[in-house]
Amino acid sequence: MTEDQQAKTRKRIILLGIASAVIALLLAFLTLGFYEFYKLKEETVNKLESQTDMLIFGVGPALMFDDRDSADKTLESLRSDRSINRVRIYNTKGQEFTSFIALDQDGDIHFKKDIIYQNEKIGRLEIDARYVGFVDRFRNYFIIILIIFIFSIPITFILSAPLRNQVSKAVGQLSELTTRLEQSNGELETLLYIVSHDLKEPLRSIEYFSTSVKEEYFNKLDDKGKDYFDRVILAASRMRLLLDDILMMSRARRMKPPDEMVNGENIINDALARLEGKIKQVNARITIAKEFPKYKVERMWATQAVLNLIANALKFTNEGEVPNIEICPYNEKGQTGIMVSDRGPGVPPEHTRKIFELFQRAVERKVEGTGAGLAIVLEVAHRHNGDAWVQPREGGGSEFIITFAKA
Amino acid sequence: MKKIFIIFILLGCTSALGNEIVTQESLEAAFIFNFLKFVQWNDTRPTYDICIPDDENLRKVATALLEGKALNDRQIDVVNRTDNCHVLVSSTSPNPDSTLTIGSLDQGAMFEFLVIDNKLKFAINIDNIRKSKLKISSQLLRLAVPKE
Repeated sequence: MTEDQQAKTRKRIILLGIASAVIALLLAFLTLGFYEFYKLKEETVNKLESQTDMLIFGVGPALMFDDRDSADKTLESLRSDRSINRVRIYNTKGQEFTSFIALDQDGDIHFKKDIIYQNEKIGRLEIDARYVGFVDRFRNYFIIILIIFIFSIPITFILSAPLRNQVSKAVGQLSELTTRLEQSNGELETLLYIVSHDLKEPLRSIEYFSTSVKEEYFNKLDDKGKDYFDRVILAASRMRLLLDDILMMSRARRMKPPDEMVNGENIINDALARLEGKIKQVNARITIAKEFPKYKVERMWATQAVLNLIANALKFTNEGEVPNIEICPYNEKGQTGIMVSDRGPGVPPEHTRKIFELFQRAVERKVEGTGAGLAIVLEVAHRHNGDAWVQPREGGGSEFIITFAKA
Repeated sequence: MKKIFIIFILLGCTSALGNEIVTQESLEAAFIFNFLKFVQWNDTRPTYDICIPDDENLRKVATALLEGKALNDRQIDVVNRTDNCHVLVSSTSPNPDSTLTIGSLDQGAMFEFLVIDNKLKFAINIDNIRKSKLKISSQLLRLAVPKE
C-alpha cells in the first residue's frame, strides 16, 4: 500500500469520525428538540390548568355579581401571557358574559371548564392557547450543540490520531496481503489450467498408443502383461477424467458473473437431456415439479451444477433399486434454488461438508467418479452468491440443494 | 327581561322568578344571597338569619326570593328584627361583631349598595370589616367599588 493510499485511509477515518460526531450531535439535537417540545406541551397544559383555576377564582364572583368590569380586569392580566389566544366566559345559559381576545384564532390547546361555586355551576370558561417559546428553547440547544460540535472536531482529531495510524497501517498491511493473495491465487489458477490443459496432450498420446498396442500386440503378451496393460489404460482413462474435472473446476472459478434470468425448467431440461443415455441405462424414475421460478444465473454453469446433482443421484442407489429422483424448486429461509432428492443410501452426517470438497469422496472406488462433481456444484453456488448442501430426506435418501442469489 | 335574567344568574339559576318585575330590591336580595357565599360565621345555627327591619319592600321581596332557599345546609330566614342576625340591612342599627351589616358606610355599616350607571354595585368599609369577627373572602371584597 502506498503512502498515498495510507493518507486516503487516514482521511477517511477523520471524515468518519466527524460524520459520527455530526450524526451523534444531530440525534442529540433532535432528541432534545422532541423532549423540549413534549416538555413545553406538558408545561403549557399544566400552566393553563392552573391559570384556568386562577381565572375561575377571579372571574367567578364577578360573574355572580354581574360585574363585567371586574371580570375584564381579571382577564386583562392575561395580556402579558403570549400563549393565550383568547378566553371566553359564558353564563349558565351559554351566553357570553365577557371575553379576552389577544389573537382571534384557534390555538393548539382548547380548554373548557365549568365555573362552580358552592357546588353550583355558575358559568363556563373556555381558553384557546398556543405553544410559545419553543424556538427560543431550541435556539439555545442549537447554540450548545454548535459549540460542542466546534470543540469536538479538534478533540476527535487529536484523540483519534494513534488509532488512525494503527488502522491505516493495519489496513495497508491487509490490503497488501490481499493483493498478494489474489495474485498468488491467480497464478495458481493459471498454473492449474495450463498444467491440466497441457497434461491432456501427452495423456492423449498415452491413451492413443496404448489402445493401438492393445489392438495390434495384445495377443503377444502373456496374462500378466495383459493385466498390467489394462491397468495402464484404466489409469490413463482415470487421469483424463481427473484432468477434465480439474479443468472444469478451474473454468468454474473464472465464471463470468450471472447476468440473465433463466427459467428453472430450462435448466432442468438441459441437464436431463445431457444425461438421457445414463437415465435410460439405469432405468431411473424422475419426477419434476410443475413450476419453477426464474433464476438469475450463468446458464451454462447452473445447468452443469444441476446436472452434477442429478448424476450424483443416479449413481447412489440402494442395492437392487432403480434411482428414484425428485427435482423441485427450493424456496426456504429467504433462499431460492433447486433441490434434487433421491432415495439412495444417504450421506453420513460426518461427510455432509466433506463431499463438497474437491476429490473428497464418502464412498469407495467401486462407484465411478472423481469426487469433483459436488465441489463444482458448490463452486457454482458460491459464484452465484448462493450455497450448496445436503440434508437427510424424510423416509430415507438425501436432498441436495443449490441456491442462487435472489434477483 | 335582561334584568330578570340577571337575577336568575345572580341567584345561581335556582330561583323560580317567573315573570316577576325586577326591581332594585330584588337585585339587592340577590346580592345578599351571594354575599352569604363569601362570608364565614362562627355559629352553628341551622339558619341564615337575614334581618331587614327598616325596608319593608326589600323584606317582602327578599322573603319572596330567598325564604326557604338553602345554602351550606342552612335554610335562609328573612326576619324583621335587629338582633341575632347573620346579615343586617339597616342604616341606623348597631353594629355587632358577628353580623354582616349593610347600610350606610358613614353610619358604620360594612357594605353599602350603590347604583352606578343604572347598575347595582356595592362599596365596603374595610375598617369596619376588620373590626368584626367575620371572615369575608377577598374575592368578594375586590368586587367592591369605591364610594365617591
